[in-house]
Amino acid sequence: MDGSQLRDLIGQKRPRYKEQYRALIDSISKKGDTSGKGDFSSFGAYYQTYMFAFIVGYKLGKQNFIQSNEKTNDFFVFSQWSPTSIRDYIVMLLLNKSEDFGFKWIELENASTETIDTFVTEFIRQMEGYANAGFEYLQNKWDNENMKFRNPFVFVNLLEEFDV
Amino acid sequence: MATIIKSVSFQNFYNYYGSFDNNTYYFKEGINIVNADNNMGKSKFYNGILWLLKDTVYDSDLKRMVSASSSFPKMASGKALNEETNFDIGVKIVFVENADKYSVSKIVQFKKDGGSWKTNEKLDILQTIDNRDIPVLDVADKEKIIKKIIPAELMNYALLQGESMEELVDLSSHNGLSSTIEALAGIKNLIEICDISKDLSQKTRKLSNDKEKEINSTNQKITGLIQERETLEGRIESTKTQIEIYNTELSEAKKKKETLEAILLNAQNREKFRGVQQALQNEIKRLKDEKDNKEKSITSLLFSESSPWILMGLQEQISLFDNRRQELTAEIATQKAINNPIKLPEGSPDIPSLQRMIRTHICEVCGRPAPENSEPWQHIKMIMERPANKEKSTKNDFGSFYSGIQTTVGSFSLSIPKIASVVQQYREKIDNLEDLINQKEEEKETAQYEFLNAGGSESNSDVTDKQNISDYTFAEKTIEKKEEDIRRAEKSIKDWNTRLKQIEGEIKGISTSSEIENYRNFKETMVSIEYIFHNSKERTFNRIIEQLNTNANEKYIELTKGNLSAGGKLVFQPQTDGTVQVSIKNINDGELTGLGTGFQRMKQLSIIMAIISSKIGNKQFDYPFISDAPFSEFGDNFINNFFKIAPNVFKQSIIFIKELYDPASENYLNDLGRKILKKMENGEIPGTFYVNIIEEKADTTNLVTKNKCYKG
Repeated sequence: MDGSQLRDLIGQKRPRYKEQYRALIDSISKKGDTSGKGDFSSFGAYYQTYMFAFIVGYKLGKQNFIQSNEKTNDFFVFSQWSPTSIRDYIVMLLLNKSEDFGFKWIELENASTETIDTFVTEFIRQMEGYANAGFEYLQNKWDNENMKFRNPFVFVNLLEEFDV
Repeated sequence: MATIIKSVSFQNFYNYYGSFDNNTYYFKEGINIVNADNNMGKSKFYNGILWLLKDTVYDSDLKRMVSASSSFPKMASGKALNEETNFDIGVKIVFVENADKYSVSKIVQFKKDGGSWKTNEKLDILQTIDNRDIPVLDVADKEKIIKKIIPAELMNYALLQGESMEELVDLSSHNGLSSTIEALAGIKNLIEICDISKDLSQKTRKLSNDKEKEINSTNQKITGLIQERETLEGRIESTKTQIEIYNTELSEAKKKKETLEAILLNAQNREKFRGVQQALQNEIKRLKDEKDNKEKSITSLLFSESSPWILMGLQEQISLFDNRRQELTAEIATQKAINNPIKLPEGSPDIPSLQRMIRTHICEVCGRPAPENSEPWQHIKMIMERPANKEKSTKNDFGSFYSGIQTTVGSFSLSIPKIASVVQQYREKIDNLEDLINQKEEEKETAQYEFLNAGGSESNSDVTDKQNISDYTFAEKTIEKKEEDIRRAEKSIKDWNTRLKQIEGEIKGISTSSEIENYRNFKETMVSIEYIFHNSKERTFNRIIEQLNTNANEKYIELTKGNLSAGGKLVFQPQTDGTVQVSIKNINDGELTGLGTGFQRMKQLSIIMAIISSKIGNKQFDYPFISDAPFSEFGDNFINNFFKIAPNVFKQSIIFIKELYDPASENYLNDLGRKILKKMENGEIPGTFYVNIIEEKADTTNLVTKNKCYKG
């Protein structure tokens, strides 16, 4: 298997989020608007909300994995997410942590197709884990500190909280 | 010799509910103040006096004077109308004139008849003689007694309503000037003689001409000259009439210009500040849009292609990824080396040694440094990787996957570290915009304040202001044109008169009749008489105007004394049409424009006081001066000055005023009110001080006004 095949394998996945965050995602996203210029406290497309939640979860260092009995929703296939550079950055962040979830790069070079499939599944599960942890964090902010969402810098402020 | 009102009482009259006894104001010589807020009976009080003296009242709904009889239902107390079926409304004035005391009551009886009211008006006058009240029954006597309060010819100056003050003394109209001069000098007879002498002069001129024609009917030369003379005289007459028309138009244009002048500066200011407000509004909108756009762009900047804010603080991850890639490459190479060992010369370094050399940047063969990417380092790397270049050693090859990612994210290694400062700059830009918006809002508020200061309001549309500015320009052009017309017409008359003299000489030279001399002499005598009377009238007019000028300026200086902004001086300018324009000029005789309504009213009040002073010389005015809201446009300084000088001019004045009222104060007086009251109490200002109050709040139909006497 070569690089482009691996890319395609990951790219055809549809990362999921927990149904419980649906209302929140609806509130802070502007469905169908890919310009990114929604109301100042909302994102353009849903998957941008997802990417943001992923970064929040990643910065938190926390994961909230989807349990098998949990109701979920999914997005566009991963390959369609834009901007490509940020999508790739997310892939890079997860690849940097691949050993943590049991996959060394060198081992992947020698792995069977089945193992690669397992890797890709786990890769996406890891992504979902971070993203849903991010949603959990955002939900908490939304519920308890809603005033913050009236500030046009709300999403920047949320990111800065982790860098202090 | 003076008339002094001792008391004024009301019965069920507008707000004044109840009997005369419950609604009586006792007055004295000096200043009598009735201080009341809006709708508390000031103008109603004034209306009571108007009703009694002039049989008219001011209808505030119609905003004009109406006959009292047409307004009886409005004059009746709302409370009385609601609660009673049979009651009287009335006004009673008790006054003394010399040793005589009179009580004048006007009463309307109201009686409910089915659904409507029947009214019956009556006038009762009692004269007190030797402590006995004797009814006056003769209608003519009653009229005479009412005129003792204020004579008809002085009512214009002694009964003053603030709002109509501007129209009261209008010296710029023939009627206004004539009635003022008449009130001051009583020269009606002289004016009549002037008119008669003019008529006689014209008739004798015609008689002389006719006779001359008759006598010289056979002399063609003389007949021709007489014909020419008649034509020229006709032209002169019609041109003089035309000049009068021009003068009237000129006078009207000047009056219009003066009226507009007072409001023009305000109109121009309103136009200016309206423009400033609009420009600021546009600027604020632009700034708000810019700020709004910036704020809306924040989420898109999180995902910017060049510098995505979402990745702030994650820059180390790129080098970490790079390291991983290098490690992978090394591991693959190692794996190849193990799987496909290459025979190297004896003593050559093995793969782990080569890996170490690449990592430590030191060639262990020669012992020299091999910095990363330098030629020796590349050589070591080539030797280490050589087996991989030749054949595949792993099952998969994800190198392109990793390098693709590396390529995409690589550019962020420079931009991510700068994101924090970029965000900070962006915040500052938005803060600056916010500051700028606030600054512009403040400027707009100031402009709005200036706009309101210049009399701006919603009803004061820019259309009105533009109209005023355009009317002013038109009036200026009319003045210029009419003055030119008059100059041209006067030049023609002058030329025609020169020719007339020539004709006269020529006729005299040719005609031999002695009979015509008598007619000529008669004509010339009558022309001289006309000239003498005309000049007398002119001199009298001029003297009065001069006297008015001096007196009015004295009063004006006293009234405006201590005011912060200079009020200039009053200048009385005789106009070509015989009227007089009064304007306010500065010390260099430049027109002072833009003075507020307060100054304009002060001008009028000065002229009124001057007219009264001119009439009475150095004495006080013998009749009460009664004024409703004279100070509605005056500042405290004007009011103070008025109270200072009024007692010198008027023996008694009764003033209805709200400028001393403060509903929030315990005694309903503001600072100025308390000061004036104190001066009254310690005798500095003679007179009385009343405050009207409403004890129970009610709508306007049920209002009941009571009075409190602070200084009786």
